[in-house]
Amino acid sequence: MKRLIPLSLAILLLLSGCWDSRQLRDITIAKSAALDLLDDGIYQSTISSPVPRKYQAEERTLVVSGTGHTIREARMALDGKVSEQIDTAKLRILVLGEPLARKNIFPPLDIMYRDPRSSLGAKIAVFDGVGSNLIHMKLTDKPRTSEFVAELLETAESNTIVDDINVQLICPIMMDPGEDMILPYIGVDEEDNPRLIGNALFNGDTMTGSLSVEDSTLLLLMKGKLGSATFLTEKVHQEEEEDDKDNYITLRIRDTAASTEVTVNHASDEVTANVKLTMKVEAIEYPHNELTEKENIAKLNTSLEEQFTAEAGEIFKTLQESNCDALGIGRRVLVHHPDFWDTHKWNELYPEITIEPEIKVEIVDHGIIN
Amino acid sequence: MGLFKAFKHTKNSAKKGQKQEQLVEPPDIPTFPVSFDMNKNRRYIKETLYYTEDLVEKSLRTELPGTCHLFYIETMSDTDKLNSYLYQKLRDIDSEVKLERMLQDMDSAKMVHLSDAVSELLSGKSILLLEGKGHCYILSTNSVVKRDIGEPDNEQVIRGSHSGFIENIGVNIQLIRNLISHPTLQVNYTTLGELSQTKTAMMYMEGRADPEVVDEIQRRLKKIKVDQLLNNGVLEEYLEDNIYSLFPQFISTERADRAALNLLDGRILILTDGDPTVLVLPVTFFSFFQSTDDYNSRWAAGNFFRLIRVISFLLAVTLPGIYIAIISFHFEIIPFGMTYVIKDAVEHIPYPPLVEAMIMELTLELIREAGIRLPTPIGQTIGIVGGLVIGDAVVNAGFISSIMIIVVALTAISSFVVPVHEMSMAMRLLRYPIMIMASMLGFLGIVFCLSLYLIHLCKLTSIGQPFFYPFAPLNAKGLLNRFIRLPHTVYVENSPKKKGKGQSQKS
Repeated sequence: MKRLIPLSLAILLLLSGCWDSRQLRDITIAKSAALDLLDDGIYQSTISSPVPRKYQAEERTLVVSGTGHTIREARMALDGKVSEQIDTAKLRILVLGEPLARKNIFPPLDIMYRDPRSSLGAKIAVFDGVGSNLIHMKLTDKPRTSEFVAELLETAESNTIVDDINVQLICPIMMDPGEDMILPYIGVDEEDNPRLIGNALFNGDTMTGSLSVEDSTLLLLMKGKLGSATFLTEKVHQEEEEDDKDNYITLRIRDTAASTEVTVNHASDEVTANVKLTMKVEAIEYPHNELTEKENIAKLNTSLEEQFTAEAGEIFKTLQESNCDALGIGRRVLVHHPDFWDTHKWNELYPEITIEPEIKVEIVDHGIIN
Repeated sequence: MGLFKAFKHTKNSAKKGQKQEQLVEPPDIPTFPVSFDMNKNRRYIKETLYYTEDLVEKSLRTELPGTCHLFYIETMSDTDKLNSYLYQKLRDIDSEVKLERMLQDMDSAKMVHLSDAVSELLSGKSILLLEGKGHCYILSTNSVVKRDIGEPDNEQVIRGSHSGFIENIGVNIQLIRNLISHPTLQVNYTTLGELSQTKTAMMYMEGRADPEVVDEIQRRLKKIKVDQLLNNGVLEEYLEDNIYSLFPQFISTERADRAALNLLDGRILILTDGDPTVLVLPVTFFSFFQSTDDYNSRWAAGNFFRLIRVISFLLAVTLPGIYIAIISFHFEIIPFGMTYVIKDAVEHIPYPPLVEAMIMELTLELIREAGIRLPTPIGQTIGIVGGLVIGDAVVNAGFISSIMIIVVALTAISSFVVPVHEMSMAMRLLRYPIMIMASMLGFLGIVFCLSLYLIHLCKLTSIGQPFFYPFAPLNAKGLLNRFIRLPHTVYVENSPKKKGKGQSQKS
């Protein structure tokens, strides 16, 4: 008996070994994937996988699509088209077609959260059109769409145009009744090349609107995000110059402090959010070049503050129209006024609340020219 | 563990039987006192040596009555010495007192038993028989064949002493004594080997070496019963605590400075006549990663190289396993940019990664083994054929992935970094279980295997002293002293369990 136990353990190990191994050579690695909702309510899953060099002299990408009533069924249909087994563990970019995003995105993403092997670190973006079109696009500067989109988004993150998010990070926001997510929004330009066109606004898991690139930066700054290379361009002189381009200033944001305060008037059921943002900026392009004088700087500061506050007001209007609580005002109400939260439906109340922006700008540096 | 125990049991019982058999075997030469009859003595010597043809007998005449008979083995004796010392001086002798004094001057010994004298004869001495006397004289006329003291090929250092041990035990002890001139340095001789009668010496420093360990080694040496002891490897196996362990429990070195440093560190040396390697015991796991270079170069560099050696141990043991695990289980951990490069490489390999890795590892061992046996000029050919032709062709043919070649090359280089050869052999063997486990369970298998190794290391002892010392049992000051090479001016007081073990700072 004493010998039987170790012997059986050894046999257990030796005989059952490697049943669950997944040989790298037998797997097609999907690097980018698109999820779409076709007209007849059928899901379409498209994946692209670069083809190993040995088969082909030129860099080539395999793009296949499959359809089904669920994403898994669509994936199974894909498997039938590819010789090897498809694995999404190294997925770098997940594209959601706008028709799908306009409906609701949680059901198709569900499989990503359930499968332990799925790539939760993949970047996620919404495409203006059918998502598979983006995957199918032939790009001139990068052979692979996945790399192009992923690097596009990474650059945008450092420019504070999109938030630093991935499949995992959007999940809690999507589930949170007090906050809504914004996802990168990719469209095509006139020459049919993909480009970033701003952010898609969501209410819960449904896309309800979009925000332009310039507005996205200001919104993210108000959320307290700041990338390493953030620039804002603003018109500061109203038609004073003959040449219009002299009316603009470009700022590089050095440091920000953002805060949101929410006050609830229980009597009148009114919610007021006060969004404060203090920016320390560096004037990096300003053709007027009068930055050595303090009065000029002060004048510029006030002018910029007015401009930004007005713009912020527009942004909040768009957000409220889309019912997208990107700043997480609802979360603050839930935390500080739970009884008010319990008696009201935030989703219905949010478009009606008052959001007051208060932006302070301070030019702290103006380059090496004095 | 039950499985291992069962193994041990059968092995032990087998060993017992062997021992009993040995005890009956070679009978000692019966004692034979020197007879007053010269002819009897002469016949005895010749018969004991079976009339070997290199035995020379000479009758010498002096002024005294009676003939003297000199016996020596010509191949072992220095005839110049005999000529200048004995023949010339014997001529002037006219009284017994003078003869006695002359022999005393000549480093001789008086012996009553001829049987003892014969065994001395075998070590190159001469026997002088005097007619009508009940004793004989032994003259030390042996010639010693010595190699030059050169740097050992397998333990080279950049800076520091370049003297290495040779095959002569006397010279070796002299080399150590030259480095440590301290009265506490002790030498104990033992003769081992029933047939070879090899002289072995145990050296230690009184007060620095743990007396318990010294006693234990002496006890174990006494128990050794072997026919021939021609090298230290035999001795090592008899002295080891656990001979079934893959880890070497003693360091063997050919460097005199290394041996001396270890002596100062409280360790014990065992020297064997005819073997240029010296056993150092007891040692810890991390002693294998120390080189005298560490203590000779600047301390930051010394630490860096020591760290490199420990990393190389981990690499050599786990790298092929990690490759197998990644390729067959966890390709998710490959960074984005590398995924396709690696997939490209493994796309056409016709067999599982384990087979691929085994083929390459075994090829490497073949090349290495062939390289050792061949003389240097042909050895280079092997390097070219093995390295370039096999390495390149096997990838081009699509049998082995280029990544595997990189892994094997890295593993091979890592396994040669460790300064002690025995440990590098252990490293090469330890990698195979890891490879098999990795192919079955992926990283989990590697972790299982490494845990087993760790448990074994923690349990292992070297002459009763913990082998994995600064870590198990954990000792922070021990870590500072042994694992990290501190500047020589910094001294950390080690908190020893016993007095006399504290001086572990090498200086």
